[in-house]
Amino acid sequence: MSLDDRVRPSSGPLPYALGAFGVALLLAGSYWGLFRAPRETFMGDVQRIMYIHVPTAWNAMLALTFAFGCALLSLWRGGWKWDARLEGALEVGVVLSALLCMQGSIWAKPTWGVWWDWDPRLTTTAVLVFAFAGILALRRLVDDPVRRATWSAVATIIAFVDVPIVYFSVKWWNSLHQLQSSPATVSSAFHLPLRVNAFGILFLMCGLIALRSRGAALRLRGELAPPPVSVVSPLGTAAALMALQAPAAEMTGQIRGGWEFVWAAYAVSAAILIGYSVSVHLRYRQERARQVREGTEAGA
Amino acid sequence: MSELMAAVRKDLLLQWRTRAQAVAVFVFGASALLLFSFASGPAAELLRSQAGGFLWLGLMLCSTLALADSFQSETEQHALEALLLLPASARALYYGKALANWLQLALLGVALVPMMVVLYDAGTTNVVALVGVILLGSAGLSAPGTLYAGMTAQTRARQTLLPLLLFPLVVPVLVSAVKATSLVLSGDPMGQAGGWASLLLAFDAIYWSLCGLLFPKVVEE
Amino acid sequence: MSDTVQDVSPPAGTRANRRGRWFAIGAVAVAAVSLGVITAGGIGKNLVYYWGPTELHAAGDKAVGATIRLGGLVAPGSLKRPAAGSGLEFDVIDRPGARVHVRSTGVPPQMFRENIGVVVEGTMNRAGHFDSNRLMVSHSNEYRAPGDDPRVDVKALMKTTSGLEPETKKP
Repeated sequence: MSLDDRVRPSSGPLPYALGAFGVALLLAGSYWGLFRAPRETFMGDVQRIMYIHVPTAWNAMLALTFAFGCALLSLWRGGWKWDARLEGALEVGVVLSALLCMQGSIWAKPTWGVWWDWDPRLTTTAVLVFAFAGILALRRLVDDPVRRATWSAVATIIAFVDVPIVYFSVKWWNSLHQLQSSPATVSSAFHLPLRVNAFGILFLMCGLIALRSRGAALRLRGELAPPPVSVVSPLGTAAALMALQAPAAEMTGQIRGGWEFVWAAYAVSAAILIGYSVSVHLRYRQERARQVREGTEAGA
Repeated sequence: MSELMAAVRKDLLLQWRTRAQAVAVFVFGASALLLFSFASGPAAELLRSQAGGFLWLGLMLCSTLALADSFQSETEQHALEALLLLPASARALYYGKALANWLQLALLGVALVPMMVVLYDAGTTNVVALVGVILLGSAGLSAPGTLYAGMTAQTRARQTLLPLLLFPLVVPVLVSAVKATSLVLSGDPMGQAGGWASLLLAFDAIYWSLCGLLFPKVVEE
Repeated sequence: MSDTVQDVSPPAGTRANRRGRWFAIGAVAVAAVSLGVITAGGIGKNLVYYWGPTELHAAGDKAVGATIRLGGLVAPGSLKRPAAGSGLEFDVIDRPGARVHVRSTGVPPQMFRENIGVVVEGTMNRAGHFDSNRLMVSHSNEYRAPGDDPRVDVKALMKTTSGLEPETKKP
């Protein structure tokens, strides 16, 4: 990676198309999951949170795995597009992981009786959020684009390798507190909404990463090309939302979850996904406007 | 290899020359342990059962200071560029510093043990096992810590960035070291401390190799 | 701009470069093997280990006063809730037939009942019963819709208590 390499941000409506298709799938899948799928034998209606929770989990890990790939390519192949994609994947991964923690917490309350119960997956996700949000903070605090690219790539590789280690250490540590684990077998009646929502979030996520990367590439072009402009676009507040330990409630042993938790989980997910999508879009437009302004001032 | 030895010697010498700072770091750790006991209250049973956790929390807090300091001379004197004429040199620099930091953290850990014994009434005759856990755990802190210290020493927000990047990463070290220490302190009837020590060993192997591999990228100009 | 950016890596083929490559291969190999040991090695089995009633009786005095994890099946017909205060009393049994009486403080999870796999953490009392302050129930790994086979398989329940199996499915 050198200051000489060119940055070519993409253009066109593809991210928006992907996002729209993803939202459509999500609406269909959620409708099915909320209103048409049967109730689960033990958990009742609360189990419907699974239809938004599990796809979010798959895609959060996918986003962070993609970030890992971008980091490797950024370090060893070079090229600014991988750094731009890294930034997009990191931010989307953090947002999805934070959302995952919130959904998991809302699901935990009626099923386990407390907001947080050291489930290995939930705990690992919380650690993940902190680790990758830290890398976003690192990117924010380093002005030199070359260094920023190299360092965040290194940090992403290290954090990603850490994920399985954290998972297993928490799993064994937690075995002292809980035997419950997520389902290994899921009745086929539940498969359809799960799959539809999974693809829904997948397409939405791809659209978000593409658009966010485009914004990052635009900003990079502004940073690298003359006239020198010191531009660090605000990353927004999307990555900062985390719902961690609310005070643990007394376990009465008789908490029966109801639709209020299901609605809460879906509402939170919709709010975060919509809010984040809007934020990415607005920041992209801001970046575009800035480029146009500066391009005009510098002359042809 | 000789580069490595030279680097280790240099860093140990530096640490010896700045040993007043090391004492200050120890006092910081000891005060942290004291504060933990106030925060938990005088319940003897609670303090004894949590002693391992407090020890490692105290050590981790110390590590932010010790690790950040370890690159002080390189940054102040702009010695970093001069040392990095060959990639092999960067690696030797890293391992030299990581080894020196490991030693410093291990000594800090061992020095904090008497505080733990006195404040929390938690001790053991199995000193070998305890020292072993401290060695493994501080190695796990030192490897990624030295890498990130080298990185953040070159930024303007180094005080906040180092713990921000390091702490989520070393959750497995914290978990395993605390569990292993607690088991050693309580006699370990089910013989499980070895399992946690294995996890620590694997973590150390992964990070001492990976961070050494990536360090040259972090300091190249 | 390009002439001010120095390439500091040595030309390919020099000793330093070759050594660097060997180091890289070695480092990745060590990391990969260690990661494999963590994920697939047997470390976890020892750590999630619990004693059955047979092993607890065999340990004898070693178990008194030390923190132990005891696992097994809640014996049918043994569950008692004392009239005053919270807490439970029940017996834990295992396949060979050994039995341990457990007194548990605190509130059990929602799914606690007789004939379920359970792990309790606590210590053996000199009086001969197990004082537990933490109680965990094994939750069957299945999600079932109405119309699925409703038989509750005791053997399968016991299997889910025998340590954490490696996940067979993505979350």
